[in-house]
Amino acid sequence: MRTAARVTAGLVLLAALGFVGFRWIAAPEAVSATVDAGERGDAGDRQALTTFDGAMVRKRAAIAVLPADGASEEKVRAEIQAAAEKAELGPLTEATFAVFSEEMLNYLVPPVTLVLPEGVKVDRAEAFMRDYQPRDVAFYLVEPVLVHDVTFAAFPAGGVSPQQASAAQQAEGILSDSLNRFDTKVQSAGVVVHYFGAVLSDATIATVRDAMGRAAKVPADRVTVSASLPGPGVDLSNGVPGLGDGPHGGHN
Amino acid sequence: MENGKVSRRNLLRGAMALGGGGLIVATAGGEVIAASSKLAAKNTPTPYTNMFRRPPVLMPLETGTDEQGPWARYRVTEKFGQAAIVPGLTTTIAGYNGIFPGPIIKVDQGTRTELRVANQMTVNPINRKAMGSVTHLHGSASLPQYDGYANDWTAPGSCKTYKYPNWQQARTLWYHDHMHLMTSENVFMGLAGQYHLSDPYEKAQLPQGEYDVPLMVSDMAFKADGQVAFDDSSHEGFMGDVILVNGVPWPKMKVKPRVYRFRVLACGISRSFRFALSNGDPITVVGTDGGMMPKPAAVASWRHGVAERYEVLIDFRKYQVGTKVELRNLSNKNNVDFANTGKVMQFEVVADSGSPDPYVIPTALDLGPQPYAELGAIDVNKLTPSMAKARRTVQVERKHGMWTVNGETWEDVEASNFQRVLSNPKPYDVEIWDIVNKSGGWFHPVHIHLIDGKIIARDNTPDKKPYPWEMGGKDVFYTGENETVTVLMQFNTGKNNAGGRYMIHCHNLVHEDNDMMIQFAVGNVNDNDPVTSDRPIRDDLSDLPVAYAPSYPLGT
Repeated sequence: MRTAARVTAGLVLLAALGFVGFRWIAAPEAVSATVDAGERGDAGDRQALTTFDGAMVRKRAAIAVLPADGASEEKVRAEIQAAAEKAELGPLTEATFAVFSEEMLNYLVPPVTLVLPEGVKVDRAEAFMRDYQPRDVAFYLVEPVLVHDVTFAAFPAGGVSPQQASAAQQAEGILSDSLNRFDTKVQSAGVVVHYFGAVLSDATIATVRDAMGRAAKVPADRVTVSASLPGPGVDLSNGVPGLGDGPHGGHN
Repeated sequence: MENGKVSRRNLLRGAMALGGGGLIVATAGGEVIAASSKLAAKNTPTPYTNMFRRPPVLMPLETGTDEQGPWARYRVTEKFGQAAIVPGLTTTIAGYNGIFPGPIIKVDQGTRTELRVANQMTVNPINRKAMGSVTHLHGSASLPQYDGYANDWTAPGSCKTYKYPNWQQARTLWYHDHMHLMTSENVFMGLAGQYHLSDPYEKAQLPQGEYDVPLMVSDMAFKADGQVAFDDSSHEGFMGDVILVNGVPWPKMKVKPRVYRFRVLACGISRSFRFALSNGDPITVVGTDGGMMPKPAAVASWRHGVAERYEVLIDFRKYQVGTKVELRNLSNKNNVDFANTGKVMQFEVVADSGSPDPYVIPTALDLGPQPYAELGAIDVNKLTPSMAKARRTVQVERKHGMWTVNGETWEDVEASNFQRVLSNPKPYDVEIWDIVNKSGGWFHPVHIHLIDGKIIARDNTPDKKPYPWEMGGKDVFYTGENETVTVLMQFNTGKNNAGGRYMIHCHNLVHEDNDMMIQFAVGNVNDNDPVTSDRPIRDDLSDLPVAYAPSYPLGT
């Protein structure tokens, strides 16, 4: 009875959050925190592989921005956002440098990373930066990238409130270490974490599920992982597909 | 080799062109080398089959009192030894007195110590280079010439007597090698040991004696013949597949139904840990790098980088005799994990013939009076941002293929004849430093010599506050991928120390060697010159018998 109630509550929660295209994951078994050598996947700048692919992984164009000396990162970010809106590119999503390729990060670790809406090609993003010519930008690059756009949801065990689960999760800090940037929402039925950024390995996803499960006092496999958006996304079962255009960039 | 004559940049470029060996896992635009041991099955250690042991406690050679108060003299000899780490084989190590970990030195606050370190090593088996050494007492507000300045090295056949003031409040320190360009190889060979500074407040409030246990946690890899396998050719880091606690692979420890205090030190090269109990029970953190925390914190787990020290309490009274509980490593981002790197050690609760342990886990700790308050010293926990005279950014980053701090390296410091400094506060000044890590997929445990700092903000926690386990004095600041940590610190030199130059570096020792280190100066940059003030001398004393304090039975 209790399990059924929790599942119902979870469905209600997710419906309330408006996740179009949500699917219960035919979840890979939670990966143990101890894995075989080198299988963790997202140590360093290498592109991680994951079985949490399909709709959860999206191809996007991303702009790596090196602000001019003395320029405020916040100001640069705001200016480019405003220009993109004006150019009808839609809202840009902030991310960390980790979305970019290892090759690019060898060259530049950008302080500002902005990801364009789905469907905007690298060429279009490049043209935007070329035409906009932001004054406070010393250098930029545009690259096609893969991002994870996923939602984790934990439904606490009886006796644990979502607020308590969220507080425990926050105090332990595992999500801050693993995801770096994420949004947490405490709902009446549970705790929901939305992550948008570099592709996470199965091991990191397992770490997040373990942490959320521990905080909610439920097993890790009761922490769901779902796509935040509908659509087919990117299939990684045969490795990383070609991402199309190479990097574009220039000096101002 | 002469001080400062080796171009690290050229070394790095050469190494990058050659590439690394072993299992390569990409990081930060380079590769961390994660090595699986090549041991045969019969020589491969099995978790929780080896007995826990504690490093021996070194007895002083001599003690006394003079006009400045009590003093004690110690001697250690850096030399090679044979250690039985993996089954059926011996491993050549280089350790203080030929053992790994080195002996523990226990000192009371206010007792000045002299530690004579003789270098009887020859050639490091890892790099086939002459094994010079530098000894750093990590956590001590030592004079610059006794702080283990990287270029103040002692050649084989020489010795140096380090003088430690020990005026600080109780804390867990550790002494380890800090040799220019070779720290990682020297420490990997075994040059590390704990140093416990005690005071009446700590003795009155935290478990002592049998229930005060050092845990030096590291990771290693081994060749088929049992010798250490180390490779830093990637210049990014090294992680092994065997977890050692006090030099024993995944030990098992018998514990009584009492409260134990563990002084946990991550003393490896690159790996960080996230420690937790296998049953999910909380662990109470009572101390950080700088000693006791004013308010202990019960945590489910804690993140622990190289060189950080956390003192924790585990209450075994709640378990039935026969219960087994593991200390596990949940790992952190940008580590490379192997089949058993998630395991650390196992506790087994055994019967206690004594009376029940009446200890009450404290909810607050009294740190005692702040030394040198009359000179302007302020308890680190009571520092406030308004006291700061300056705010600086310390950007740890990879730049043009180099590990740098604010775009500079130790080579830049050397090129300036050691005059270039990040900051030049006066003694007892207070500053705020923002340590920024936007260097790609890597974490950096940043160590600032001399000071105790108070973390006042983190940029990626939901409330921007420090984590519960780091609410005490710190000298190593874990800066994860894309994280910024804000630290408030006072340049507290103590008495009879006008200041001088001190290092700042990443304590991923491979990063430190390649070349993520700069310096700051307190007061006059040339006071207490760390290289010339007290040079090592020829070691013309014969070895004396080593005396250790009586120990506890193996496995406890």
